[in-house]
Amino acid sequence: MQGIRHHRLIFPLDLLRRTLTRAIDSVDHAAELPLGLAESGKDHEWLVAPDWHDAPRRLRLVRTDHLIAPTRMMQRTGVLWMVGRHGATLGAVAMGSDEPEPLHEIRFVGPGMHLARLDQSGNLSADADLPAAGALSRTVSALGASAWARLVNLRFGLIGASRNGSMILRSLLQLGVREVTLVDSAKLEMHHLGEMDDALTAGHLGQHKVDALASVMAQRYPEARLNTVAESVTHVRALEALRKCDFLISACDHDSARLAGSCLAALYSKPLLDVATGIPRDEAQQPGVSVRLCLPGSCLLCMGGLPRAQEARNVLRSAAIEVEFRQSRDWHERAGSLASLNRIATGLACRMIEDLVAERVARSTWLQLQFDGSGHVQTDYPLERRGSESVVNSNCPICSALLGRGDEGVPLVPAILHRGGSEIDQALTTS
Amino acid sequence: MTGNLTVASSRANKSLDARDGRPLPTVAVLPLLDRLLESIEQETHQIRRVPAGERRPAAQPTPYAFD
Repeated sequence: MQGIRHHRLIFPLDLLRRTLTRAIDSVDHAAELPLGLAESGKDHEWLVAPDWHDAPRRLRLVRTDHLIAPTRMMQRTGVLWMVGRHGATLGAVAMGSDEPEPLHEIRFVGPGMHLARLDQSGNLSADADLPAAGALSRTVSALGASAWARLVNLRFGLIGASRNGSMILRSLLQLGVREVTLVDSAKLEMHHLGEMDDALTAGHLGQHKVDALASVMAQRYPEARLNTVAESVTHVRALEALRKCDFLISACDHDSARLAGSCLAALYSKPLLDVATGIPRDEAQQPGVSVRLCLPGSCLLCMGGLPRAQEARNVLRSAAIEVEFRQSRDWHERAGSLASLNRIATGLACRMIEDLVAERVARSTWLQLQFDGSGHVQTDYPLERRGSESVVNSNCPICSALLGRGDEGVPLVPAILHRGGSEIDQALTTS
Repeated sequence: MTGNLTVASSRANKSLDARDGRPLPTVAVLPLLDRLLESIEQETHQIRRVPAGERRPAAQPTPYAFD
């Protein structure tokens, strides 16, 4: 039966605020925005995007005092969302026929990461459906019950399951997070054991990192659902698994995986948190940490860039090139690793997630921490010096071309990554 | 909490009840949306605007890239 389909609207909160601001004084005002689509079986995520002209369907957002469900839908209108007074709302979806289907949920991507249910649960808040468990009573008290419930209900996708990744995974599970998808193609080697999660032992050597981590974490956190993909982030299985997540984290050892993760986050309008540490061989550089939270409209390319962006684009040209690169890579480009530095980085990363969900972090944020020549800590928030007001960085090829395009944007990625600006434009106009 | 809104919802649904029992769009009340609309109304006249044509300075690559 068609009604079995589940419809969720994914709306970047910043974009919603701007759209409603334009309509605030206009009853019966209608705004139209492009809609991308992520389709996984019966689950349909409708992705609201700020600006692309070739959208096959659109969101029609109507401010009205008369909330009456439509009896017919125009196919080009993918989703109709009616906003009335005092938070009253009604959503309908056009899907395969002109008869409307109900919009079930709206995810507001941004501060709070709120999920609102419009279906039979009616006015119930999706935020308040978990009890405060005894063992986590202090955590719940610190974050607030509502923010904690929102956080643990997020489905996290973790790209990279090594030093930083294993520590982030444990931190998320310790918070009470219910579902994490792990993506990493590498197997566990002896040199990993020094700094990765301490539960791993020599008995796990040779296993895929994701499987070894999932097995040890399942013993400690049996209530959590851990999905594993022992493939590169560029593999189709990784794409299918990660697009079902609500929040992506990249904790990778190379910029090619970061770049791929950044493209996925843009395509499916997901927050992306990138964690990186470094103990460089070059004595002119100091050990340090970079934590970047990219909300829809910003990405790693336009928030600090990637030191090996050109190499990353080259690696992503084909699966064969990627495999060859990993096999022949010079792993001595780093001076070493320190678990203490990993703990600082992952601790700061998890604090940033907590503060985003608690609505203290309100925008894309980039934190750099560096130990100077005297061992003193220097911190910097580079975006605070620049300002980061715009919904989309129009100069960024990823943000301007991929944001919110969903499944239909995936074929555009090679052109975005490997060719020049004019060919990107051509790809967009012919898609 | 729904108050008069259920009237609108019921009236809307009446015309759709013959759809073989398939779920119908219904009215919900979202406190978050209410808060958002209120804050927008309060801030409408205080919106900070970025001057047109302003571009961000070129990004400096971060030196940290390892796990």
